[in-house]
Amino acid sequence: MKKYNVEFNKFLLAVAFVFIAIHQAAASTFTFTNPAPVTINDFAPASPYPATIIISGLTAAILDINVVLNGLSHTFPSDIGVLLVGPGGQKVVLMDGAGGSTPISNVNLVFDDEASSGLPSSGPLSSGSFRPTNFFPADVFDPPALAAGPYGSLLSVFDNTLANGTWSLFVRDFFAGDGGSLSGGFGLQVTTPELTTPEPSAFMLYGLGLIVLASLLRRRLR
Amino acid sequence: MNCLRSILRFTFSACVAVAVAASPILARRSEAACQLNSLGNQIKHVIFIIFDNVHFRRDNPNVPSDLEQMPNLLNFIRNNGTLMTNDHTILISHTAGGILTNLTGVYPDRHGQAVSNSYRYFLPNGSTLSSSSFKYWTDIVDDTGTPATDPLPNMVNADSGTPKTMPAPWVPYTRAGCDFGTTAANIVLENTGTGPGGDMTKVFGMNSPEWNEAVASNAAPPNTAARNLAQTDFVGLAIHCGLGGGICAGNPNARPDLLPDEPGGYNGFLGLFGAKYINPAINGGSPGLNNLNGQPITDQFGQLGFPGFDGLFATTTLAYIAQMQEAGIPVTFGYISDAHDQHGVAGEIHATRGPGEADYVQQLKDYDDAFGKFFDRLAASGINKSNTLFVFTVEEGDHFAGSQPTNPSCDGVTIPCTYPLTATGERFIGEINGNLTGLLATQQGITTPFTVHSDMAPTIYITGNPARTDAVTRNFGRALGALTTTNLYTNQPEKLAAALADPVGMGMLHMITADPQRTPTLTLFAAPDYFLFTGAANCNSPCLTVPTTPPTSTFAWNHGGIQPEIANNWMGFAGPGVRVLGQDDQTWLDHTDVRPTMLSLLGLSDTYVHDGRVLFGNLDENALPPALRGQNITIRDLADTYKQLTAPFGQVGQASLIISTAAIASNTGGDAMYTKLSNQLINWRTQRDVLANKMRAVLDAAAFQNQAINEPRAAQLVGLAQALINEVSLCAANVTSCAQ
Repeated sequence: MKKYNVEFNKFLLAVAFVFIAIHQAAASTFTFTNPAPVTINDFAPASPYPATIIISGLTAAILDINVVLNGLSHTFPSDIGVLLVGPGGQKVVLMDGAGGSTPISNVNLVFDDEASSGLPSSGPLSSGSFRPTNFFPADVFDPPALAAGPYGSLLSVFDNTLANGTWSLFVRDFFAGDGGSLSGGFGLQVTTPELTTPEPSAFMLYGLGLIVLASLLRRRLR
Repeated sequence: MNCLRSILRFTFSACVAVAVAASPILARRSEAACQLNSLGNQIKHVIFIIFDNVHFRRDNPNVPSDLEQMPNLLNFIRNNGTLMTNDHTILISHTAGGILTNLTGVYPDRHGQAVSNSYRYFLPNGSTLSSSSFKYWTDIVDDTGTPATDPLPNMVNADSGTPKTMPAPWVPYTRAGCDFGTTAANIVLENTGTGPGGDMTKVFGMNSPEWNEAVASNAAPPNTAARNLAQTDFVGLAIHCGLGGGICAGNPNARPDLLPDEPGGYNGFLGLFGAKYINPAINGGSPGLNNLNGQPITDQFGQLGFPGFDGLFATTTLAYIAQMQEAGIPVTFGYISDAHDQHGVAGEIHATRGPGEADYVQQLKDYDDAFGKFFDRLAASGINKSNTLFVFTVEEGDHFAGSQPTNPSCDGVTIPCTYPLTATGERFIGEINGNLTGLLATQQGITTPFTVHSDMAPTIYITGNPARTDAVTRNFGRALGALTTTNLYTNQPEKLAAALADPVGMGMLHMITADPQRTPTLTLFAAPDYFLFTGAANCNSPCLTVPTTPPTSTFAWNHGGIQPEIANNWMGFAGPGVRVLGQDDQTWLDHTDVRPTMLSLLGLSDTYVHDGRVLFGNLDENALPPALRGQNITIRDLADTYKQLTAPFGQVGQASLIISTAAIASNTGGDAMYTKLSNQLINWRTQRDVLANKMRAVLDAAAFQNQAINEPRAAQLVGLAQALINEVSLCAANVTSCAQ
């Protein structure tokens, strides 16, 4: 009984090694960046409008997606509205009306559905991860038609869709008197169950799991 | 020879005749070139009049106010437009600053004249020199020195990031093809200076015939016609001609209208400067012009031409305005001198009077008669409320410093008021002159050297220009806050300082200009009866006096300070697009709001964002820019909250002055109270500026770029601004607690 238990545990361990190895290989996160600066014009669409990232070569649907704004500066942050449109036309307002009146300089924002909080309506914006935050849901982004509403409020609208294609970031200053920039452009962190080139640790786990399984099978054959 | 003379005489006469006959044609051509862009192009004429010290409210409850004694004007405004009685000045409240704020629509920190009618500026060695505020628009601070001890523009503005001359107020009009005629401050020659930066040099150029005339005139014996001639010929009147030349076209006396700092450039424009050239141009070749009573307008020596600024009585200014309008100058800005002082024939004397005194009442009657004739004459020329934007206002109010009438029941109109006389037989009325140096030395032991811009709100320049936190400055400030006097009229003790501000407090009041040399160390806003100056560091001669002699140079109408009778003014307007509301006592406005309101009605715009806002609640809905139509409560809140946030006499400005005063007067361990409150004010100023800049940008974009106002965002902005207003007001309500 005791021996059986030991061997059964070894079997489970082997299966776990294989599961972990397969799982690690499937949940791959890919980062795509367009570092070109975006000028946030006063009371107007930004330049360029939209900024874009083109993704190709991914074969699996999105498990999760986060968006990074690099080097955000503005003299009146609550003026800013940012809309992300995916290749399939899904739309999410990442931020609109947040940050109040305190000027910001070179802030890096990550938009993540799993973040613990949204952006503040007032007070200074600081670098970190936040849920998409829209204080002015009535705001409408300027044409092209791609930017027309309605707009979602969660990045999960992109889940289970293919990431390949053009992602468009529409930045708009909605109130007169101030401007800013996105000095480092924007980026996408796309997590998919892709089977791509495994890492060395995955090979080790595969191997270890197979050796243990083979060992167990030999004992049973005797 | 005789034949030749006859031919020449005939030719000259013919030319004059042709010129006179052609003038109506030129007038029509000039008017036609003017492309104002009001609703339905209804507005063809603009008449802006600014008074010196004419009051809507009564200075003596029994005596009708200045405006009440001018029913022709008062009724014209009320019957055809709106009289707004909750208008406010800027700080300090003086003639130059008040007029220039009306002309530009920005606070003094953006036009340079925070301290006026003159100001001092620091030199590198810590001493100071004085400059007049009244100079031609493009003049510099030190217009005589080589090199200049302060080369920055008198009208300094740093919107571009570097100090430049403030954009000129006539430019939107002249760019629209409209001639702009004026008798108002700094948009005419203000002096006959022939130094490198003098007005004559600026406008006519060195060694020009006009410049040579000024050199000769300035060298003539004082108080002679010859000494006055250049002023009479060239100062005080100007026509800035519109694109295409207007009345300047073909006129050999026209000169280039130079504005080298004007955004977008300003080239090819011409102007006529001075009565010598303007009178013939607008009056059929005549060298003179009659006032509305049919008398020639002259200086004190009888020379035809400009009578001096104090000589710009209603009958004089209004005659020029009417004549210019009839000559095809469609935009006219005029200044009218005060009615409460006697100015002789042409401003050669200055003898003050109390409310209800017979000659004060008579002068108001004369002013009223002039307005009656003015409106009749304009109407006869087809210039009326249906085609003309009329604007009337005042640069500031006054506090009457003087005794009560000897006949307290007098009403001035039926029973003239009389005032007690001194031993020398003069009226016992007048500002209480205070020797600040002597008071500080004898009461507080302060003998720190300083200079002062003498005033009811004297600005103090401590020699050496110490920092605001320097012990010398702090001791001086505390001493100012502790000064007491016995009022010579009431015999009651009182504190001399009603309020105090150092550069931190002045920043909250828009008094810090783009020229650091002219930032005072301290400003003392005095109790209402006092005019303060520097004298001996003792009171061996009384430190407080009421000068009543000589009788031709006395002053009883005190301004510069923060008292309501000085700060709270009026503005009236009428014409296409202006609602006929009669009187509006509610809408809060200040001098900065006049220009954007006018330009919005006229369909013109400036190259800069105003500090003022369009008074859209007083305009017809269809005369508003589309973005301001159908204004709801959010947009009205935006405008109203903006004013309370940023205006010197708004809630934040006045609360900050209470805090500033307490901070400067404080004397706690380690100067903790001063430090805490000053830091708080610095922080609030940063917040105030961010919010105010945003609000004005939104309002300006709606008014002049037809940008729709995003109402949810406007509401958010109002909330942020109101929170700041509440925070500052709360501190002012209990400064001691706030400083903990």
